[in-house]
Amino acid sequence: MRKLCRAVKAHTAAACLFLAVLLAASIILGIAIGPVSIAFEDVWRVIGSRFLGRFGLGEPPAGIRESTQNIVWFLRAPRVLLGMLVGAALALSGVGMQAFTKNPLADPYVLGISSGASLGAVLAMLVGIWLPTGKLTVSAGAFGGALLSILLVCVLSRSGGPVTPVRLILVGVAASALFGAATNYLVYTAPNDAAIREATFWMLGGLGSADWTDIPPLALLLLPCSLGMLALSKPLNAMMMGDSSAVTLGVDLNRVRRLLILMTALLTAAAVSVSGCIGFVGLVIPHMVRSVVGPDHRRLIPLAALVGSIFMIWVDVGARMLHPPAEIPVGILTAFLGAPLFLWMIRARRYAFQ
Amino acid sequence: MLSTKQVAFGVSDRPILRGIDFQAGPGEFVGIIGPNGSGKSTFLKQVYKVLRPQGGEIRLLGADLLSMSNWDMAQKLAVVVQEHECGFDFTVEEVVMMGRQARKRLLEADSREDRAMVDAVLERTRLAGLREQGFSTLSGGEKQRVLIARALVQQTDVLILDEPTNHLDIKYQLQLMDLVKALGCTVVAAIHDLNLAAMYCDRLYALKDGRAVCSGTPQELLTPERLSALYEVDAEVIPGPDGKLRVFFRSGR
Repeated sequence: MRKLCRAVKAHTAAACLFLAVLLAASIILGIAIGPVSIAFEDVWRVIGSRFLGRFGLGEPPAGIRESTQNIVWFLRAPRVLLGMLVGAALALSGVGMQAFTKNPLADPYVLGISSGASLGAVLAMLVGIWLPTGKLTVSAGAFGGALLSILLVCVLSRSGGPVTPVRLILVGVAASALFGAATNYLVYTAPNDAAIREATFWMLGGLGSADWTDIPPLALLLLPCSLGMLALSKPLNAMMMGDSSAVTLGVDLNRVRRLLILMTALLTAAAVSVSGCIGFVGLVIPHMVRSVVGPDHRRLIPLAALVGSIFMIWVDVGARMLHPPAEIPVGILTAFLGAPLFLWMIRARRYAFQ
Repeated sequence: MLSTKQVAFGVSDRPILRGIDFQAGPGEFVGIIGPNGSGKSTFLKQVYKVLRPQGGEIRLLGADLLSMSNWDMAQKLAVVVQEHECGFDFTVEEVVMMGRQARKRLLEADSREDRAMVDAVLERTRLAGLREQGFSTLSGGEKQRVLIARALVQQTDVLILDEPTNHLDIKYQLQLMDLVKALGCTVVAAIHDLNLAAMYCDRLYALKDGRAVCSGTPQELLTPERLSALYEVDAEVIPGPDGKLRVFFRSGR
């Protein structure tokens, strides 16, 4: 194990490459595996022909049933890709929040983002009872709710003193409770059972509603945010040694903190808006990667993003396969897997909480 | 090299620094002494930009420090800070390498020169055997040496030590001070132990109640009268065999 750690540490680029190959394989396998099992070859051919078809090239794959093609292209492919993006986004925002709070126990939802997003989504669903709205409204509601809640938390923690991570967390806890109460009130008094079920499913988190329109916004956000975080890795490392250390090593604390909060909030809000509140990914994946390569953000950020996306794809496969043809909200599975994993890591690493 | 004019600072109407004039020339080893709460650390924090003065002026190598970015400052001035927190377990080598950050662009990798410099400094601070160790597993004294090593690889003209020997055994106190003295750069150090101050400093500033009450060479400053006014105890000062002063205290009762 120690040898492995040292090897990964010394050859981070090679490890990233290996994980990228693993990710590509996971995408293909994730599309092939499901209640209706599909041959790998067919997955290839359908994707190839659909992709080329966009540019007016290629032909429809002969000998593959229309229904199989539809499952591959319209159901599983966007779902697996969305899982990949959400996993990477959550893992990255976990890294960001843990760096921001200098606390390895922080997760993307620590500033009340999830409860803000839930409130926004439930509000959108209730509006949907009277107005003809669709999935997009709920997503927009969640995204707006998430950003509004973090803005509120930032503004509230600014009054009467400097914004410190501890203040932010405390205000986040209070805001979380408030939004949670509002959400529960709305769900409890909702005039319509379907809205309640939808809201519950959404709060548990799932990738079942994925379609192609979800992919581009998240991908377009993930790319600059992950590169931006990577560019901040050295200042982030310095900040882990304490505020005074960071200043004397040349870090502009306020600027780095502002950028970090912005990127983390955008990533979390975007992930939550398309998949609900999937827990534990943002907490456990950064831990797992850190226990192998150490806390250096130059290694942690790319590796956590890759591991997060692979993890999410496979957990979602599990969510589909456990009770076919019905599926479980993936957030339940991430908690089932994440919590024991977390406990095991705490024991194995003997984290000293001084 | 480093000078301040009328630097003032306070927290919610309680003044901590009431206008401090200070100067350290090239290659000078300047000590700041004074009782607890006199403002030693607070003053140094103004000089390394962790706190912002509410009045006055600070100049570093001829430039205005207050309008300088932290990045620029880190290339001219290194600090051995008092804090030892680290919730994340960086290795000794990683912590020391952080001293090179301000010399690099954001995504630039560590070069061979950086590594050679870190190796040399680890050797000099007798930390080479601990390089793979986690920082948080070290003793207080070892941590302090790591932070000193980190400041050394910054390769700056000015070095600030904020009570640097607090966690160290006598042996390491002397080793550290010898090491710093041999660097030949401008050193400004808040020092608790007056005997250490007498041994190593070229000049001393005495702070009390946020004012620099006097300054001068150890010979000028470390007199029984001044020390009893400063610390409110009886002091005895005798020259040692090496020509440096030795300070002894007696209870005032």
